[in-house]
Amino acid sequence: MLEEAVLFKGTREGIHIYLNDEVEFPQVVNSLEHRLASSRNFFKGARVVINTGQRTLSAEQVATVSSVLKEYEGVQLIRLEQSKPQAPPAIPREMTALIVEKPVRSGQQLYHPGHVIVIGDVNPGAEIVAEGNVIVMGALRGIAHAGYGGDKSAFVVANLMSPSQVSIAGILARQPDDEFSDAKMGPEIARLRNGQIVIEPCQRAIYE
Amino acid sequence: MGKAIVITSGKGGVGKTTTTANLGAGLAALGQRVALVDADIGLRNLDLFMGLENRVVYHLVDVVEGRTTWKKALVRDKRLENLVLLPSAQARDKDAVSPRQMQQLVQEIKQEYDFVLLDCPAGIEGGFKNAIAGADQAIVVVNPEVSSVRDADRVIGLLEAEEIGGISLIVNRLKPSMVKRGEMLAIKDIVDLLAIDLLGIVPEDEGIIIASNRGEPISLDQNTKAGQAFRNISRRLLGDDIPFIDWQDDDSFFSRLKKLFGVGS
Repeated sequence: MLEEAVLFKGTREGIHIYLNDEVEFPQVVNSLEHRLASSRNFFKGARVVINTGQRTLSAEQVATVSSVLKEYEGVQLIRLEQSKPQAPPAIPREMTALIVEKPVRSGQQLYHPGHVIVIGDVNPGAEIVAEGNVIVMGALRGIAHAGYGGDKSAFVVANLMSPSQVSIAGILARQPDDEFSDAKMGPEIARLRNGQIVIEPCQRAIYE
Repeated sequence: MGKAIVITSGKGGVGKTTTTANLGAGLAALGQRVALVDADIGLRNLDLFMGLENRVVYHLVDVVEGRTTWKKALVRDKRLENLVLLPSAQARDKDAVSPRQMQQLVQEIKQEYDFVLLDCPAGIEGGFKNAIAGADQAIVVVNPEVSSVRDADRVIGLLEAEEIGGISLIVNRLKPSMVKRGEMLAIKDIVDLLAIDLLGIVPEDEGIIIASNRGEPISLDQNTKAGQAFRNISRRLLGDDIPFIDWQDDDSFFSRLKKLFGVGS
């Protein structure tokens, strides 16, 4: 967000002048005149692009801006542009849950734009990708990716947590090479803490 | 009408053809009418295991392409009169038949036999798809090795996707001594992972190689462990409740001696 009413930026094309769309127009014009006056020589013969941010100028306002520029010798207005409208802030959408009632086997890949709940095992060589959370009511021995769309608060829970790889929002952890034995029994949760995946028993995670 | 059962594994060399030959002989010895179909087109082996190589005149591709009828292509077993084999073609490949043609053929054979056992090729491509096309049930053969179990898991997923009814498991080539030392996957771990019904466990037996080379199914040999295991599986296929033999039970001379004197377990 621009804090000043007017901002100058030099580019190869010339000087870009950004008119802050959150400031009242008369104040912007005032500030523009002031800034131009304070560095009159700098603008001599300059090619200028005016960016009005999100604001659409009326014909009258355009006339005002160009009349301000005309007071300076050689300043050439080459273009008047408007920033692209910003996408409205994403509204978090309701996530659905996909319930799988059989084991997910080697070679099977499963993607769901919400949560995935598996009633059974996820075997080595199987892969689950969810934009939400992954919950395995059995042994997780394959690959699980939660928060696929980038949700860093997503988690993976399994009754027996022994994944070959687990990812959350694109951050990956894999099983250490020296870990031959299966994970201990009891549900565990994998989630992000300080940008790293941490796996811990569910109970501890809840009471903390 | 009979049942068509495909014997498959994903991985090669785990004992699909051995299992097909032995279950076929085992079921036939129990009085069932059994047709074995070698669906491994291009790698014809089942006739060797049955010792019927010299009697093969027509093969599966001849039947599909209309050069003969399936009944004429069948080779009758030399030991059991209610056991027949439909051999595969050695000089053709899997593309010579389509899943639809296989389905139709198996459907016809099923009308006249109690069991149609389909010996599936290794892999999960065209040949596999042909072999499972006509099957009502599947037997997955696995060796107690990580790679074999992984491939079996993949195959079970494909069978489930094709909505093949009963899928059951045979663990073949179990080495009891290695399991005991913790060097081999335990049966329980395999069954837990694959989550299908266990149909039988066949211990490693050198006699199998000898029997295959001679073309005599070992299930007809009363004096071998593997033969016993295959006979038990055949009876389970008929619905008999046969307890599993604990092959991990050490059967060496020394341990028998210890048992005799009541020492040890």
